[in-house]
Amino acid sequence: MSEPDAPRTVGVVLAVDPDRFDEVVEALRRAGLRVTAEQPLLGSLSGTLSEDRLPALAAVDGVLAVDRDRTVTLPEPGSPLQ
Amino acid sequence: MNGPVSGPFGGQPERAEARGNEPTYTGRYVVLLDQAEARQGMEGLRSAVGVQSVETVSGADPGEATEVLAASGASVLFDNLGVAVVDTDPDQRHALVTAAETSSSVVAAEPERYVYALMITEAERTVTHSYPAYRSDDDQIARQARAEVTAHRGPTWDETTCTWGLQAIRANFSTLTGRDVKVCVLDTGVDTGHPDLAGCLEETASFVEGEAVEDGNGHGTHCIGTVAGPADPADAPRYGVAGDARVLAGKVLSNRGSGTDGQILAGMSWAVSQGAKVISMSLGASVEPGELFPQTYEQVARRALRLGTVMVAAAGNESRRPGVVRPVGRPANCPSILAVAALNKDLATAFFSCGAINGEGGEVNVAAPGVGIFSAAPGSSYQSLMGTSMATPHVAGALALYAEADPEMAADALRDRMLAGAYPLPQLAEDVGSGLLQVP
Repeated sequence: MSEPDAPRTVGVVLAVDPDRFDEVVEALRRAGLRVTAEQPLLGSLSGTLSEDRLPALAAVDGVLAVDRDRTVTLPEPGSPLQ
Repeated sequence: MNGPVSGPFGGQPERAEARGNEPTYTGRYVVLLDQAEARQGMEGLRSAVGVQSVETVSGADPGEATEVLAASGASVLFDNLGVAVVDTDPDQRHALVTAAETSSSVVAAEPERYVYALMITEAERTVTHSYPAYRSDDDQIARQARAEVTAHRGPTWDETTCTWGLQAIRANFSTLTGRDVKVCVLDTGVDTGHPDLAGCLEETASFVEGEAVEDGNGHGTHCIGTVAGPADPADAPRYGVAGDARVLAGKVLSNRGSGTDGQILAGMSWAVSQGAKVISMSLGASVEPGELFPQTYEQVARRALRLGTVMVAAAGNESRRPGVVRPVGRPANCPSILAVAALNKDLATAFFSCGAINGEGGEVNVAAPGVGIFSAAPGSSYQSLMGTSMATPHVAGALALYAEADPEMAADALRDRMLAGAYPLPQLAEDVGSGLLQVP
């Protein structure tokens, strides 16, 4: 468990310039991102990092977008409305 | 053809034959002349029938033609059309028909009819989106006229052989089947053993840790059934739009129906790498009024479009109409992802269907059947469900038919053609976008 005062770890998804994907991902790692999945074809990746490091990600050259990784949830199976 | 007309050369009509209180025939004859020798043909008729005067109209000036036609006793030759309107005395009509039959310059002659507004059901050209108010494309107009008939049929659908959803989008009238077009469904996986679906599965992949692609929820199987269920299921009416499409079943939601943006992005990348023409996403998360679309999805969707893949997503089920309309959810709210609204059997907007509350990207693009939707269920069975989740795979299947019709078409053109082919509905574009989905 985290210390009460320690920054939370958050999940993020990012879109980066696909033409220099590896270079940008490496820069993101240096900025504190722990990469969990990469999709070089579409220029996207996901990962986790300390919440206080979020602004640093957006500042990395070649990053097009940073969003919090959110959860999508369907209605319960058996519900008529899906 | 109605009335006392037989063959290309009409008999003698009663002048002012009754149609209610309105006359059917004007008493004049319309004569189709051999265009190469229209003037000679007209001259022959004039001498045989004793036509008093013939005015010739060559140009496209409507004023000139109107004036000449209104003149009593006038006969008019439309030179550039090879058509004449001939006014004769009643006792000369037999001579006219005889002359027409014997003249090599006359192709046909028939009594001129009055045409009344509303006698013909014209294709509606009202629009609910930013498309031209008039299209010259005859096929398009004809298709919309058929759709109008569907729209007026109301909620009474005979689903013995085909679901109402397929009838509403005219899939049962299309000769296209989506043959060899790859459609990816990102959802809860698929019942790989379902007898209706096993044949349509091209590839499967699970992006959910610890879960195989096998559908323990039912949602994914239902959506895949709507995309590519067979043309003639053994024990059910037809419920699949594109029976010969090749389905890429990507499991991005767990059997409990939960998944992350990261899993969905991974599924998108897989789909594009597999050559999917369409990615169907019956999933989403609700957003607040004023909330911006997720930039990451937008960037990815734009790149997918460039690589040949159209993305469609459910608009969301958070509305409670009338009264409460909630914004289109994410990722459907991305400008480069199509948002699909749901319709009732009477083609009204479903009570739950989200609307265009937010700005750029938050619009609804098209509407499709989304209530009482019958499709496949795990365990080789079937179930009926409602939701924008059910509307979305109708659009994906239709896109497969458009792609089959023109395999070289770019993804953005494919998207635009589908939207342009939708049938305008009376609802606001905020609720139904371009209107009711129609297959090519």
